[in-house]
Amino acid sequence: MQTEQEQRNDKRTPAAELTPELRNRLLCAMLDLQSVIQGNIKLRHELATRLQPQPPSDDVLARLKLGVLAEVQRQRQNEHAMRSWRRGLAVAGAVCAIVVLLLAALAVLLTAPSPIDEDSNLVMLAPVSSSPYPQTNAVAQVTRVYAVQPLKQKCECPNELHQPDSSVGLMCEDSFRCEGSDGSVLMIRVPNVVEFNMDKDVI
Amino acid sequence: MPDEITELPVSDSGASTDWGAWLDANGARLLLYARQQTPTSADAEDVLQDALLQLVRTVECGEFHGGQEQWLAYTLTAIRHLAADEARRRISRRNYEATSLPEPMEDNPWLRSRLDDELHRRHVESVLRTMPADYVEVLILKIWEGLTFQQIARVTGENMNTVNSRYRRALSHFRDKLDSNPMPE
Repeated sequence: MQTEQEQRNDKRTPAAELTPELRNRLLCAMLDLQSVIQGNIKLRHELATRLQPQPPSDDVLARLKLGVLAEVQRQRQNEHAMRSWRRGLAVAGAVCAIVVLLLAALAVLLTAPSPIDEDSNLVMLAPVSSSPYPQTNAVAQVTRVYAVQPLKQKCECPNELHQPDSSVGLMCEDSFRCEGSDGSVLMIRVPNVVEFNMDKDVI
Repeated sequence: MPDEITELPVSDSGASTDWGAWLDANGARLLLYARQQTPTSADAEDVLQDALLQLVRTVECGEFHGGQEQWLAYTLTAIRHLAADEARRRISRRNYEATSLPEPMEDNPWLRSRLDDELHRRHVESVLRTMPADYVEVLILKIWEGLTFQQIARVTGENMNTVNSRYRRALSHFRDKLDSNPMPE
């Protein structure tokens, strides 16, 4: 069985079957083609050697070079600026992270319960230095009262049989009685501590 | 000043960026093609400048594939695209007629020759300027830019066989025109 290539070869006219006239015409065409190719090569060579591209003037060349130089430098500066910006961003990020960590640590420290705050129903009476009476600085609902003993007052829990230890801060469950440095007495009832009013609560 | 300009730094990638020397060697060829692609010498210089900047950006960014021997073909391609863009902009501005009138040959010569060959230069150039633009383009790219047919095909975005046959037709056309317009005495 013949391959496609063999079939194609069979269809071609064998060289031996070319008529003299056809052979002459082919020969002439080949010579013409050769002459054209040689003519083209000659013409091209002649043009290339006798004529050259008009060179740019010195001004134009200098302008082109300056343009290229400016672009190269601009690109370098951009890259440098980008690198600096990235570096700055990294430093700023690190600083921010440190600040955030510090703030978080500070917040944890500030919000950490103090020994006196362990009970959630805490009312603190902050020490008052100028007033002879303790003033409220309440922070929560009152069911039980704990009070920090004022600095210049002597306080006690009048309704409790056993007086709690006042070395840390006086803590009364019902009410407490404070004696000011000038000898005046202040009674504070437990339910009213939050809304403590100097006039009403003084007995 | 040109001496300072040629001392350009080496890029981070280590590739040679001796732009000054490269431009000195190829500036004339690049400008010839730019002149053929644009109507005036000012346009040609602008287009060449933009093409060079495009090349610089590409090389500096490390996006250029190939060595310095590829710069010429790349820049020629850029010139072709930029000139086409500029022509389109001119048409869209509707002042094409006002700005695209070609300069007289002597104000914007494409070629140069020895003094005793000046008549021949004028003759050749006047024939070239009356030929179809795609013929002139392929002649310039082949004869004066020294590109291979493969490179010309890449620059013009054509098939290599098309470029080849166009070159042969262009030479034939050129020869006929030279013969039919005898050199002025």
